[in-house]
Amino acid sequence: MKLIFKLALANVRTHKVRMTLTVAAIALSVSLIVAVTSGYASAQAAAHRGISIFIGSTDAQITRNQNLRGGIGHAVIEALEKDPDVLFADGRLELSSSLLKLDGTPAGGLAQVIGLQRPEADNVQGLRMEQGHWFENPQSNDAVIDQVAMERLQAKIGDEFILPAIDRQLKLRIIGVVHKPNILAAAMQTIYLPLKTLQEFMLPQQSDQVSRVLIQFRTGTDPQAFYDRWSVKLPAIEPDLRLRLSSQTHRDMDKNLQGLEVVSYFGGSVAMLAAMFIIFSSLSMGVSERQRTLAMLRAVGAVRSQLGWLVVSEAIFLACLGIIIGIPLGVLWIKLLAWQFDFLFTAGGVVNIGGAIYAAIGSLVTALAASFLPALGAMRASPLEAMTPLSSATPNRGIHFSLIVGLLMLCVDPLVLWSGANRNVVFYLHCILGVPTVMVGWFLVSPVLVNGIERLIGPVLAKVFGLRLALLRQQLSRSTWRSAGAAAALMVGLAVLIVTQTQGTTAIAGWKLPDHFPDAFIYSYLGLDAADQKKLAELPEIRPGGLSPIAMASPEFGVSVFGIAGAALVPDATMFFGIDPDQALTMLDLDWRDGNPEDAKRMLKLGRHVIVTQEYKQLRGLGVNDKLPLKTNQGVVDFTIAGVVWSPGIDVITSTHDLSLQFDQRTAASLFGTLEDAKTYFGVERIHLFAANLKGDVEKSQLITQFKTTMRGKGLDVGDVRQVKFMIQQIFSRLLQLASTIAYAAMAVASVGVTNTIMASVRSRRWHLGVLRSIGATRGQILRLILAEAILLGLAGIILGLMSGFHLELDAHHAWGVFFGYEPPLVVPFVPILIGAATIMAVSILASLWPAAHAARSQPLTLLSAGRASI
Amino acid sequence: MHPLIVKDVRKKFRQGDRWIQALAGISLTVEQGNFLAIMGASGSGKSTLLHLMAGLTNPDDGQVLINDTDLSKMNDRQLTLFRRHQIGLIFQAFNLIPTLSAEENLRLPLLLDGTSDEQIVAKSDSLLAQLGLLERRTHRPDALSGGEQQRIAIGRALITDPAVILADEPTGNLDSANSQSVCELLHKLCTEQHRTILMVTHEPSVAVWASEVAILKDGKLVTRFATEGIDAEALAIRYQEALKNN
Repeated sequence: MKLIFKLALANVRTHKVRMTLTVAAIALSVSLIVAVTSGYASAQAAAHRGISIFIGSTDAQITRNQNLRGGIGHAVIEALEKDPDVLFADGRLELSSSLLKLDGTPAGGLAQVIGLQRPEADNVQGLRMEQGHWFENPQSNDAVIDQVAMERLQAKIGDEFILPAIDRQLKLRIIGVVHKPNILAAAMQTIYLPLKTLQEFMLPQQSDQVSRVLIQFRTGTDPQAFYDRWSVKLPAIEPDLRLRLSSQTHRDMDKNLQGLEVVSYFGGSVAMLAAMFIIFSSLSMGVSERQRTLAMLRAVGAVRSQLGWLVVSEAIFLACLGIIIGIPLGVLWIKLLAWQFDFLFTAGGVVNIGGAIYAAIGSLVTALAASFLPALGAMRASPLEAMTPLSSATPNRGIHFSLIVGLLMLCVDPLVLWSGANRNVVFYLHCILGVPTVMVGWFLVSPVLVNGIERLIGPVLAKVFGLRLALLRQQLSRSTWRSAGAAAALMVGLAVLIVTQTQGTTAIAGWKLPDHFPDAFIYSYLGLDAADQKKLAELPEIRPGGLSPIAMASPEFGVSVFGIAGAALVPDATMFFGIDPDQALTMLDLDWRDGNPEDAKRMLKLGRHVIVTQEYKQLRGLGVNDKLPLKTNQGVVDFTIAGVVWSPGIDVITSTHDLSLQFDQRTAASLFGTLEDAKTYFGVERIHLFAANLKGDVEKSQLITQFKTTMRGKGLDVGDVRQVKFMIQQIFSRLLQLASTIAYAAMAVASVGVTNTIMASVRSRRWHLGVLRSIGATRGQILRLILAEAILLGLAGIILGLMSGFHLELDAHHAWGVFFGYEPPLVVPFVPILIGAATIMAVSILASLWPAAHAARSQPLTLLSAGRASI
Repeated sequence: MHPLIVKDVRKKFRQGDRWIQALAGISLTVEQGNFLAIMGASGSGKSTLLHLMAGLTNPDDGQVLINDTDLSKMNDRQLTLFRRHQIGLIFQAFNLIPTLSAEENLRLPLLLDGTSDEQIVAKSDSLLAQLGLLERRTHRPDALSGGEQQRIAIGRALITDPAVILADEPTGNLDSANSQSVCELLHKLCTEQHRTILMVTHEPSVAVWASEVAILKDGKLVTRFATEGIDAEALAIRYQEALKNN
């Protein structure tokens, strides 16, 4: 083994540039995994820190169960304060509202308004006080605001501003300014004021209510014992409350962030896949160039396995070097990012040890996988080869066999997805077996494809570049496997780009608004009681009968509907929208897939009936009169389906107004029941969302702008659905750009492989190029010859990328239907795909420039002597 | 027990769309300590015969026995290990590994075999001394002359004390001075150490260093004679005559 390692090491030393490029590709992919997973860990740490800062670093909290913004009575706080384990119980009232300057003009967007008691809530003092001090008087109109709110209000300490409500205003005096991380403060400013003051202003009828109770334990308290005790005690004081320990809150948040974590690992794995093809390409070159040495070793008594180990050892050595360089590089990336974007990484750059281990193991596995075929090639070296004075060209062994195996592998994922087997089984088979076989399958098909592309496009390129076809004929196929490796590395980036862009575009294009849709949605964070609802409906801007309240709850299903065993990617909870059937179904002209509006109205009014979205039908085959069990405050209750509609997107509109809640409880698809059922089964007392049709002769967008200003003045938020859709599309497009960075990172890794391939190709043909130069080939001809080869390689990468990308996309599109029940018509975004293809071509051409220029510049004699030495 | 016996071996190859009879029934025996040169024109089958004797390819018919072991009865792994231990191969193009030092190249078969470091060092030191290359031991092949490279290759063939040494045109890539030095070395190995050597060459000036010469034509052994008392010129004449008369 010592000799084998020595030979492997010697080969690495001999081909310094090639090996450096290969190690660079591995190190880059390892560093990407470390950086991306650490980015996730940093985001997670920032989120945890955010929770600690804005909720307080308390041990437990109590909220409403189904309706997190619902009120909690003072009796709960009193009972908690009597518990010997409780140091304090800090009731808070939280809402979001616009803020007004003294002249009545709105100051910026919505602000988070938190009513709290001091000194009980001193954990908020974890926030840095920039100016002034905290309020001491529990009933004063003093407020502490953050630095961005201060800026937006254009105020200073001692100045006043207004907190509006539907028919009243509260004047507050600024006595302190706290510092909030800029990115959070810019998105949502925060105002702190005494709890009593906020309660009396917002909830004059129920002025002892809070929306959240934070609990701090005494030292030595067993949190689990407290939880067990109070889980029994709490329903007796007030039903439908939820007690959560901070560890559970963190755990739930981590669970909700799991999708992001999976994406971070997936992104890294894609870069690793590109690296695998580069390692393969590099090792293939080594085997191909060392046929003579391998043959001699066989002739003097090396057994086949020793030659196999020689290649595997090289791969392991390269992977180890890649790991040694890649991990610190990844740590450096994340530290640099945290330093540069400190407002985003509020908890600093946190290195994900799991990610680093995954990167290390992944790159070793990748290197072993990449070495498999080259090792087989080395083991097949014939000892007879050593007896010939000149080594013969390496035959392109096994490309037809590889084609057959590749085509068979390409069938695996479609067979899994269209098998109709259990969703859980399909999910795991698709992820573990399906996706990898698509990529490996296309790689195995690639040698034949590369040869085909050379034959078909070679003559055209020869004409374009003014070259004789004979010179260009075997540019790629003289070493098909090496070219296939480089083309496959290029393929990965384009394939991922096609899938992310097409899936994203299809998802957003699938959200089609109904023809009749309310003019605007009015949103109140704290919710309006009956009296305030009446006042809202009577506003002159709203058409008579044009205000439809929508009660919201987010119950879990009584049985698993969307969830996938062992994966938190798909939430198993839903959004329940309580509506007035007559009013709402007239305002919303829904796209009915089962049932009809008239029957649905009649059934909904009976109670315990719901209208469901298409996802339920597609995924579970649920239709009219089928039962859907939901967890309610009365236990699991069967709701009967009154109709099936194409999702009108209300849940999406809601979520844009309510991101914090989405963070806490993710939901899938939507249900529509009645306001009464929302109150009876989910305890929704106050209404947060209203659909409104507006009155006025002016153009609709102008009407909405005016209405928005009016509503802001009353502390309410307004969303025009088309504007919201545009905003969501903007956000989505940014998310797509972010997801596309995975593809571009893979392309960056692949560029190293292409450089490697072109350089090796030029190196192995130095003698040939020397002969050409000696007999009169100009430098320009040599340059064009190598550039043409790079273009052929780029084209092979593009064609492979397009084929594998669309194959994966068709599978992914169907997979969405199977896993999420959402399968809108496919929309292909040609522009980003074209940009991706152009990037691949640019990468190929750029990678070839240096080797081409170097070869063209070299003297014929230099090329001849260098070439002869390598024979 | 004879170190090398070839019994009626036949081999044909496909070349394009026609079959070439490379060996048409050759038999020969090489005694212990014998140095046999095989001569023949291009295409006479001398290289094919050497490949068969080295176990690099199998005959269509007939047997090759080395130390009474029939090579055709062995599978690939057995044959490889047999080659490692019992056959020393010397190539025309030296075939040294450019990334290893002279000493490491010489030790290659033992390194492949996992022999202990002490044994390897003892054997290689003694061989390097015999070959006069002790001072060049750490040099890479590209820092050695052609003759030195071939001497290292000969050392590599000797290091496992094989039953036979098979040399394929060992002077084909050397100038006359280095050719002579390599021939002297092979001759010395035979006379002083009783090594059994079989060498393929088409040069009478090289073949004359052997104790016997066998001449092949069209895949057949046409004559075999001792070289005692014959100089290179006389050998060349005899060679030409053998080719002409058969």
